[in-house]
Amino acid sequence: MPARPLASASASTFALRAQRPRHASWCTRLVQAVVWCLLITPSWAAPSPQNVLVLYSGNRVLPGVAVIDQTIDAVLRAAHLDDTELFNEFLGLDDDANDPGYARRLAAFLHGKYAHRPIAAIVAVRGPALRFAVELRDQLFPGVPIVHFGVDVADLDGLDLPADVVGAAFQPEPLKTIELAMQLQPEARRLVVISGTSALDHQREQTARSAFEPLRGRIDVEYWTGLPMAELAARVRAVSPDTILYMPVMRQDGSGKRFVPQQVAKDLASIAPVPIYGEASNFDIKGTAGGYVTPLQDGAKVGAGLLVRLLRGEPATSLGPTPAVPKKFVLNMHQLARFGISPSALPPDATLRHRDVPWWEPYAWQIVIVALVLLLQAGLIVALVLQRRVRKKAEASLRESERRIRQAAAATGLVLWMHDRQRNEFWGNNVLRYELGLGPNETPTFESFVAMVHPADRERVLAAFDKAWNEIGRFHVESRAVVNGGVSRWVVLRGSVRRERQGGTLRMRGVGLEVTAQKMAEREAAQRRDELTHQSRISLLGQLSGSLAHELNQPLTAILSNAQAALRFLKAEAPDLDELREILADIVVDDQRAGDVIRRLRALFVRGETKNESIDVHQLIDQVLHLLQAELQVKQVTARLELQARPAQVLGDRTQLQQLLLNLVLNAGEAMAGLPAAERILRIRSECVIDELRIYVIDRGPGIAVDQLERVFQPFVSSKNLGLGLGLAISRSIAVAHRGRLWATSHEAQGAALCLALPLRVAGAGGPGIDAAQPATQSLPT
Amino acid sequence: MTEPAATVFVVDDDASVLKALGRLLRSAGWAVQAYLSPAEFLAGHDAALPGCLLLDMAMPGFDGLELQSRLRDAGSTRPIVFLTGQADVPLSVRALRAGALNLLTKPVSDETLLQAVDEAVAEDRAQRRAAAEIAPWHLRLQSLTPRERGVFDQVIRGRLNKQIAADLGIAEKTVKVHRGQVMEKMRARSVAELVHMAQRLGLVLEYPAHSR
Repeated sequence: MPARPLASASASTFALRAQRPRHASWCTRLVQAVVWCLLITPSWAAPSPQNVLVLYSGNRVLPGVAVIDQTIDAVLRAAHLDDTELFNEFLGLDDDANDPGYARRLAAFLHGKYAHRPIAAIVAVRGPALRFAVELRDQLFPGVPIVHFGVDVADLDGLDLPADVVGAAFQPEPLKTIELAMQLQPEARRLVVISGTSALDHQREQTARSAFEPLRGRIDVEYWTGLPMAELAARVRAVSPDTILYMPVMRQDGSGKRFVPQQVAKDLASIAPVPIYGEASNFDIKGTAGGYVTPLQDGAKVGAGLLVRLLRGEPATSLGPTPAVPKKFVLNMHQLARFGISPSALPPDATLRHRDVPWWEPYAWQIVIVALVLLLQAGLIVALVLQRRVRKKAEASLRESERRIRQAAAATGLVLWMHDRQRNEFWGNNVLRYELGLGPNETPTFESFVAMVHPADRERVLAAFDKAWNEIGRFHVESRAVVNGGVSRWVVLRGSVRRERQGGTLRMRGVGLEVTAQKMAEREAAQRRDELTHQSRISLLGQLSGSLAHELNQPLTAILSNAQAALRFLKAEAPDLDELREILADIVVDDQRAGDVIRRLRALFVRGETKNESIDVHQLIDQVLHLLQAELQVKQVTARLELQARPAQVLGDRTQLQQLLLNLVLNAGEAMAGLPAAERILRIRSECVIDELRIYVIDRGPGIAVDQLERVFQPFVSSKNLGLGLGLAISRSIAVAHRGRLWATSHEAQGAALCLALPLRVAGAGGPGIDAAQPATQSLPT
Repeated sequence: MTEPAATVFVVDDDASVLKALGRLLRSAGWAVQAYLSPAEFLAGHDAALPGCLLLDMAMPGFDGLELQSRLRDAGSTRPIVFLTGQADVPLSVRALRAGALNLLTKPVSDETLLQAVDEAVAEDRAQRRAAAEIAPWHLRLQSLTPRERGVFDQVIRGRLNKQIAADLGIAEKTVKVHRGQVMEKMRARSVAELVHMAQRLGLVLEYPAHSR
């Protein structure tokens, strides 16, 4: 019974009452009317809910009953009659058909049972129920229309159906079943008809017997009727393969034992060596092989269709004759397949049941989904494996390249380090660990790394690092490193600070390379240069000796003359003391003058250590001109200064720069030797060009040919008769050592200009200065 | 030093040297006129004053050698003692050949200096005396007519009248007349005296070969 909403149930109750006019009071009518108004919906527009009594001939719920009940219910629902109440009654007429008292008692019982439930229609399933209903309707529910189905025409014998009893009886056609069986089993020589002892069994057997008359001569037909089940089973088991077994129905065996026909069919089919054909359409998969039958469902559908029309109010008499329910082959493919009968041999319009579907077919979608999932999974696994392989390859190549870097670093003694200041992470390669004297499990720290830097250089190195951190830039710094017991070596530290990725932390990466040998070579070269520079100074001394002698001679001459004059004055009887005092004072002055000359000479020619000091170049030019005053006088050269550079501070070695300027001035003077004295004008100009100080020493001599402009800086190239020709070569080496430049320009007939460019000293900063000015001399390895 | 006081002119661009030299010379009794440059000297000195010139050779611009040549061009015979800071041989030779009397190297001792100055002043005196001696001869020479002067020039070279006549294209007799006039105007008693006078006047640089 379909579940119903509560409202429907109560509504049907009211409707039920409303249909009984005798008991209807005015107030029930009112309530009914109100409920009607409240509850009107499209489905309620159909005929009011009605009770249908379904009468089954048998006495228990066989599989077919469920099919019929469900079919009727489905049809009613489809017709929007789903509030129709079905009342099933199992009459048990199959067995007690011979007891006329039973039918009457049953009728009385039902009458009593449904006295308060008006029945709108009666459905009779199979012949016995129909006979019961027709014969006893007047006692039961007079005038209630009857619908029937599943009724064998044989059941209608002697039964006069009134006009309001509708339905289509069927005529079994077992011959068609057997004809098919003979096609399927062409080798069959024998047909065995199995039959029981119940009324239905008999009826079907009679039908078969008459139907099989035409088979006479074509096949041997045997009837196994009324055998006890055990014997029947033994016989069935033993039939030869050329046997066609036909069992229309079997409700009771020879011993009187009752059976459920489907169960019998299953039992026998399981032991029979051939298929067992039958008349049931709702056979079990392990039951009979089927036959030419009226499908139970089809009959039920037709009957239910008639019921719907009755319930909708059509008079039973106007329904007209019911067309016969078409029969068809309904075959149990499972059973046929068991005996090697292929589906291709079957009639094309046959309904094939229990087809041996592949095990997976019911799960096709699940299988497809599972397969897809598996496929995806497999793809994923493959992808992961590939990715893993690629990653492994990349890792391997990374390891390889790391190994190479490590080896290269180890082979060249290259120190590598990385520093994340924010996270205080420091990493150093094995070379660094070795230099720090660390074991394999010890980690280098930034502090230990910095401790390696020579204390004198530490501040400078840290400043360079800080600058790189602040500017996110590069650093390049030279320093000494103290490693493994105090041996000091020169290293170059260079690298950069960079952001790892967008928004990442800053990281410093650096390399350290030992440059001690290079540094030593540089130092040696610087020493050589110093020596050469000094030699050149000595030769400059020779060049200047005349004018210097003159300069020194002057005070000496004055001193001598003054002293001798004083001696002579003293010989007088009354020496003029004032005169003598004045003489002595003059002697002192002249002596100081001579001392000055000597000091200046020493400053230029005494060999000293290279220094790196801040020098005002203008002041230096003044000093040089002072030193050369005598020389320029002798050469009759006039010097003019145009010193415009502001500031004019550079870092470097005073003596060397003085020597450089001396050279330039002397060269310029010599270049003008051929000119009349009035034209021997030497100009010294200075200016600042960005971060450079430029000094121009300009003469009015014959100038330098364009192809000689560079050659004059080569050693031993000299236009002079005297001297080694090292002057300009040395001058340039001094300029370069100060990270400056020295070059010559020349304008025809306007003389030459020698240009010296030196980096200006930046206030507060160390600046480049002179190369050789690096901290030297101490703690170098020997 | 009984003769009229002579003056020593000192030119040096170095003030202290100039001052010291002046003191030394004054201590020896000389009158001193000091100049810081040749130009000052030229502008300020009195050529008539007897004495010598103590001259620094190396000075910027207008130097000692140039002053020497200018003085000589102007006919000055004032003896020059050069002072030099360095023994520059070519310059020294130039100075000496141009008539410098002496060349001293700085620093110089008083003895050397004073001796050189003494000599120079003595030279100056001698020159001045000689100049005073030949001064009348100049006047006499200037009194000669051009023809007489031409005959004079030939005679002092030891030429015969005949040669002179041929050279000048005049008669020998006329030569004799001019010759007589020359001897008279020059107040020469003999050709030898005439030649001597010519030498003193600087008109003959070499003696004729036969006269040696």
